[in-house]
Amino acid sequence: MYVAVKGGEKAISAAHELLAKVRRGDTREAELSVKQVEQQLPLAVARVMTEGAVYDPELAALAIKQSAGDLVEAIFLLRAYKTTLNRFGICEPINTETMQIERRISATYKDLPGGQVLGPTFDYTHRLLDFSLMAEGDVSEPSVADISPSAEMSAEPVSVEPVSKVLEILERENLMVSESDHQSEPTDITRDPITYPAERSARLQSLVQGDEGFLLALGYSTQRGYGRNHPFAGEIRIGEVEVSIVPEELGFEITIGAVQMTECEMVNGFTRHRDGEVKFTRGYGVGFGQCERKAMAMALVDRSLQAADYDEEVVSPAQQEEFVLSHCDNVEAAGFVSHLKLPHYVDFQSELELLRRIRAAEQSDSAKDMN
Amino acid sequence: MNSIALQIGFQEPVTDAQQVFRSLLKVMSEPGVIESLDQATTLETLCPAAFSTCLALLDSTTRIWLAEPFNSDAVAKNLSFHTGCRLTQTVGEADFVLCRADQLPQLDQLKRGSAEYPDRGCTLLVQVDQISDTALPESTVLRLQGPGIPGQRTLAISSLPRELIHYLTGRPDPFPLGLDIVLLADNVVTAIPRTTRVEVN
Amino acid sequence: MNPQTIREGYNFAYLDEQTKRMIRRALLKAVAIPGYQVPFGGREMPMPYGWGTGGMQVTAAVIGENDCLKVIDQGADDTTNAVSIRAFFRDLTGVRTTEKTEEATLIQTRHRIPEKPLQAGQVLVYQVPIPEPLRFIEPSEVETRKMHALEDYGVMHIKLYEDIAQFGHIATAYAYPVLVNGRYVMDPSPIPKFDNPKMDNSPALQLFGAGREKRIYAIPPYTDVKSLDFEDHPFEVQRWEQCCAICGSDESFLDEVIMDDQGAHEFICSDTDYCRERMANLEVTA
Repeated sequence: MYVAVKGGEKAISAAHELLAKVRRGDTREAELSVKQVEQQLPLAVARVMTEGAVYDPELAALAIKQSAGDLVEAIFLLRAYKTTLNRFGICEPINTETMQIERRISATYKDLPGGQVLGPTFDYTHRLLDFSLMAEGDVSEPSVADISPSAEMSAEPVSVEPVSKVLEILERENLMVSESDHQSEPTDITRDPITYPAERSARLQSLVQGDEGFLLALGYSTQRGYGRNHPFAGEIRIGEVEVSIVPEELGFEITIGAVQMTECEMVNGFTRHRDGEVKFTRGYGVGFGQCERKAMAMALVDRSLQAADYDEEVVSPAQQEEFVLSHCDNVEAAGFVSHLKLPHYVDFQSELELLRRIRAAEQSDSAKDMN
Repeated sequence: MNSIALQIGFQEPVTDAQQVFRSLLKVMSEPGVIESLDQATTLETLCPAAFSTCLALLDSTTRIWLAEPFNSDAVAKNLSFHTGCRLTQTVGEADFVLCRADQLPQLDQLKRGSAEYPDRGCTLLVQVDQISDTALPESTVLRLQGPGIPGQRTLAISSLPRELIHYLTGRPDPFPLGLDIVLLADNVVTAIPRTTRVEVN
Repeated sequence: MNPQTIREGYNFAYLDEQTKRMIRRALLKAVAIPGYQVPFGGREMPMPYGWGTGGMQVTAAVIGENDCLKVIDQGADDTTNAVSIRAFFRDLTGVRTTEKTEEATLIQTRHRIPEKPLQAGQVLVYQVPIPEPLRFIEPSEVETRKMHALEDYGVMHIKLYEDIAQFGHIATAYAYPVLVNGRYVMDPSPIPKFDNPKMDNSPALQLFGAGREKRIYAIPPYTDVKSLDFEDHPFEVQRWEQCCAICGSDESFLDEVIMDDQGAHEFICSDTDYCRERMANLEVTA
């Protein structure tokens, strides 16, 4: 007779111990510290903060360590942590115009006020494995002091003055659809689930948290013709932006800190607007830390999702708002795909029973036909 | 501006809010059932059941409209202090409307939601003098049928105004639209959601 | 509630009070509109989406110190996911837990309704993966919402009828759609259709939580729940020619277990509490 298998609780705790062992690796090697992750894997930290929707490099680094480098798992850890936090207040909109520029480039103008600042980037590196990084110890300090800034392109920012936005220059010339703060309260997708058609604020929030890989593929698909929107990287800027709040009891703005952000504003193909004027259109991307690929992909998808605003025919995946927004979250997606590992004995048994019944009925029918 | 005394809300915010909610869930899912609700005290003219309900359901994401005499400084200030709820002067945008049976707003002005989103309608909180499962002097005895009710259930409400009886028996909004009504008296609560068919005995 | 039993640094039942209130308001609307899917601001839980986060959020909003909680997955109290969710709530609420259906005031379930009839006062919380019964016929939320608003369920009947034409049967064995209170077509979550009749006029309150899809819906006690069918193809539940290899029941839903590589199989009760109680009774009478 069959004897039921028991012991779920024991098996679960043993599995957790095994996982801890795998995470630690060979104990003859020094343990990775959270600080090391935070300092030496800043781009991983940036992705986890952006998609995890919490700005805290230390916690993001902890999540990366705890998840053994599985960034989607780390993003999930940070999001689950966020659920438990009380909300103390809502900050004022950040102003990226006052960003302390670390990197700022425009692909639409050779030179412009504030200049082109290359900053720390993989662009123009030759993707050759650098075996010197394998050597431990005496790696010489990288130095940028001997890089002389030229008028055309500098490696480091030349000024700490606010640097005006490329798209605003076009706006002032009346060549670009204008976007301004219309003072309405943005939707909060953590409180009100997205309904379709979505408000732009809800859409952008969803895209910021969206999976980089998914958005990258969708953005790429628009470039290959599936919802083409003729993009130019109008401006990409990276740097620190101040965050401030207005406490009710004070009634005026106080700065509570600064966050590093990446912002991408895409200039997209012009079209005749409902008011009869011909202007460029635009897409917007943003994220925490240095996350240029994500911000660019987001800007492409933001633009493709504006199809309805410009009476464009919605024919490609990147233009379908419900499709994009309901599938871009990797915490949701990874959860639902992974749930297939849970037992489905009951549903499967139901299918088995039905299939056997259908086959039995068909066999007896064909047996009757033979007679 | 006069300084208004702030009262204590829930003694045990987490536990009390949970228990009030369970009572509300019980009466909303089993219309006409009467549950006790006394986790909070009286707040000026507001009975303990009504104050408890407000503390359990309201916060900075909900808008409430207060009828006379609940639109006093004392009630408004205490509700916004404890819950952070937003007071509105426009009854049609309120998520919750709080009134006494003899001070009903015009019912056809209340938010109904839409056929796609019928949940976006208003919840009407009505404070009455007495609620009972048997007839009371000067009460209206209602016969209730529908989801949550095996067969039928009787409910007696004192001084129920004509407009509300008309609304309940006539059901002018076709389902799934409609008002969900919570009735509060002293330290008891009952509810008549939009699904309940009501007849007057 | 014993405060010592609650994990330090976390609120009772994990969620903050504001999130609970938001879920509670959604639940009140859900019972007022039986079978209608109320959108809610679903939160990340410390378990992955798809693993019961919707049911867990509903449980967290409903549970109180006087509750006694039972958690089942596939009908069983001892499957890994049930064990894990039960441990989570024990850790974060300190409430009593049980495996006995009749002792529980609150039951969170995935894919089954217990065999033992539920009683008045009990609350059954279902974990729901895809709340929209029309989703696999019409993928767009905008469209399915319209269909529900207009009570336009023609596509569902066509789909069921096409099954009959192709297979001679309605080819839906679980998550079999129901009509609630004569108005809304509802997905009962992936329970086997064997369990559908238990939903009809149940004295217990039934709550449904879909975390990833951010929807909550409900069936109040004593509410009509009818499985969709046709006059010439009435709804019927699964039957087995075998009985449970452990307790001998011929009335319960059975899981199939494979005994060897040749595919020899036996059947056992999916509801472990039901099976255990039958065995205990058999031993007493023996």
